[in-house]
Amino acid sequence: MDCLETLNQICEELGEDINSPLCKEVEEHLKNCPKCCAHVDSIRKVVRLYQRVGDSEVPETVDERLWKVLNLSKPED
Amino acid sequence: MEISEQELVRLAKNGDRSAQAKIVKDHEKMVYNLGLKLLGDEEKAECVLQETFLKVLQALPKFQEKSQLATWIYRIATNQALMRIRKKKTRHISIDEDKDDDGRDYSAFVQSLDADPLDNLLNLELKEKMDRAIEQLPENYKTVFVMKDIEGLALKEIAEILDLSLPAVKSNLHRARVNLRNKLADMWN
Repeated sequence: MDCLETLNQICEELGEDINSPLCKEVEEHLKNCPKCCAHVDSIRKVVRLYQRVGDSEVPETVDERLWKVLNLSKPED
Repeated sequence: MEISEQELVRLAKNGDRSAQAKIVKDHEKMVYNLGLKLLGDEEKAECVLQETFLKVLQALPKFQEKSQLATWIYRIATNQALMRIRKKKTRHISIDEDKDDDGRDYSAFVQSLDADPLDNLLNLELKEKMDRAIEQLPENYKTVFVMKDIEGLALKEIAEILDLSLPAVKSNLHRARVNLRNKLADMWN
């Protein structure tokens, strides 16, 4: 597990700076708690899995119908 | 030459068709993907796409520009998608399902993610499991998870779009992640 990355993520979600007392406390706890580390690690990997699937392109037929419904001309790239 | 968002909005508000078309083009992929991930259905995602932009063009003259254009469009798209979700039968989650830590050992599951995540992604069965897991999430968890972890919006922006407090968004996000991890681990075994 990349501890720094995980800590960064936790701190971001807590709305805290990585050097804040609260984040330092979390860091200390993670160093000594395999259970918490495993919990955070499993969640992080699930999130990554979803992120790797990525966004879909709008199918051509869907795109064509959208412009028709809106009565607009699609701008050129 | 690229024009500023402010200028683009001003032109579109005044009825400039090419400015309106540019707004649609710049945001259509984002709206389609939001619909697709929240509703899990291409046909419904297309409905959300069309309804959102019809609404955007109609409401544009009233857009007060207090938020970014993308945030405003996201809010409209989210409302359209949520209305469709709410038409579906409401599903209640059990207390057990919502627990942060159910005392289970997830190490085998985590190791399987370490082993070949890329190959797994190409695996249709896994993709179906992931879609099913997200589909089963309660609406308030699913919306926040899709917006933050898949679409990459900032927590503050999500709070603004959903009209929720920041702590509520964080709490829903945490519960969504745990819920998904538990569901996927169940499906894995």
